[in-house]
Amino acid sequence: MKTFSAGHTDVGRKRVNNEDSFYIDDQVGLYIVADGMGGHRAGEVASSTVVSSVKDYMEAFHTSPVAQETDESNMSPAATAVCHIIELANRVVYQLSQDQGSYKGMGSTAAVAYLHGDTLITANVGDSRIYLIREESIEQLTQDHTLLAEHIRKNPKWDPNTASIPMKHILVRAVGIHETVEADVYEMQPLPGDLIILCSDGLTDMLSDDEIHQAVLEGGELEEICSRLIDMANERGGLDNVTAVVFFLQKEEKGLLHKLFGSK
Amino acid sequence: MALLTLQFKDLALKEFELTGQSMTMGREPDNDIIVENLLVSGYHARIDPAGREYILTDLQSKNGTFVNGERVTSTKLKDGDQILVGKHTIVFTLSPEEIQEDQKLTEPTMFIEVAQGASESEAQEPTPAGLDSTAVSAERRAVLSFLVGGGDEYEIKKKLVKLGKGEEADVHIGGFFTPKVAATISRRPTGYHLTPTGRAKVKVNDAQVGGSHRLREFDTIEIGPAKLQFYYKG
Repeated sequence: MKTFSAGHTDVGRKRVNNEDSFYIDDQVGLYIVADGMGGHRAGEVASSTVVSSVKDYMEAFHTSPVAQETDESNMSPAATAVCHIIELANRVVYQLSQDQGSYKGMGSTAAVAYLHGDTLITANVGDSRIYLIREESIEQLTQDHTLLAEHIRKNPKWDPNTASIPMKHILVRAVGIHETVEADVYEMQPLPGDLIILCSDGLTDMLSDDEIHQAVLEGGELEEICSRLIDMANERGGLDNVTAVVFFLQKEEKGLLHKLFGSK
Repeated sequence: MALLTLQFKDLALKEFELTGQSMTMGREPDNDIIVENLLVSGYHARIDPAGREYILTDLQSKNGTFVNGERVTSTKLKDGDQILVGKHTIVFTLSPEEIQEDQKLTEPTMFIEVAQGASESEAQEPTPAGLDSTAVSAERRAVLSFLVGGGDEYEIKKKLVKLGKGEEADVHIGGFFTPKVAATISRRPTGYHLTPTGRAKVKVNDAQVGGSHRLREFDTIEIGPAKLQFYYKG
């Protein structure tokens, strides 16, 4: 399958620095969004380090896939590789934060999508999300690693309106905070026509899943869809940095769609 | 319910309830607490709920944010704290119940305690919100059982299960016209999703599946000569 993609990031309306980083590569089939945290530019360092390490290791894996040592038989070798690569990125960020005083305590989220042959691998740490838009539906492919999300998972009947425990912005997992981290990894069979979105919480705090879906259904070039999403988040207040990466899967055919979208 | 009281000198101007959303204060009209004074920046400071507490952050305002006389960049708010922005004071008060609860509870989980949360969550299988029978659950194991034309029961442990005739298939399905991989089942936060590869007809409960189908318990899947049922065990 062939992919087309676009990505945008914006500082938002209220922040001074943009601590988000992203990466798109249709050749490798790799898409990354990372949202950093930490004072004095450390957040930017954390997220860009996550992106560059994941990119470097994934490119290496893509050119010469080495069998991954694994005790998990429930994942394909490529999914295991993604899992290990996030673990490696974690070590790089963690080491940096240990070596330099000003980077102490820095961390980042990671949302990674990797198209490997007929399989789409999605992985995340933190609250950056990945969505699948297929036909008439939108589906979140990731789970947020926030106190709030954990609380809801453990107490499915909990009504957020009855209590004042909003723990939305407290992460329970992040890249680079501890020596090790475990990413959630999923695998699926993508279909031609699928559209995948990776985004930072600056988007999902401002827009509901439905609104994101509607914004995509309005159509246009992928770049337009990215800008539309970011503009909407900013119009709502743009409280945080906003990043949106979208990619579209298409059959490798020289059909009409190819003529329309493929000639860029 | 935590309360913010906007005061100018000793005069209370307005009260705001902290509802669990972040609140900003400043001169611009889209702040939650608008303080109309030239000494106040457009977006001066923000209060975010964190666990059971509230954190005040100065949004790099020109003239600074002070709590009980001391300049702060970010601080946890305590009952009775006086926040000074420009010449206005905002008093933070907790309800008696909240004060009592605060005393009962130990310090809330903050970033430093991330490790505990992480290990807790890692030990758990994902269980999405809602008690949906299609949800992925830790206690229940999802299985495929052949009703017609096949072998043993298959427990879905892998993240992506392939069904077909080929060697790569996890669930072997015979039949002359059966492709190497006829369909896959992906285990995701939202449940188990069956997706035909498009190389053969795949039916669920007698209806052909177009794009993909989220499996519900006791769904019957038909691929070539085989019929399988999806259900939970244990």
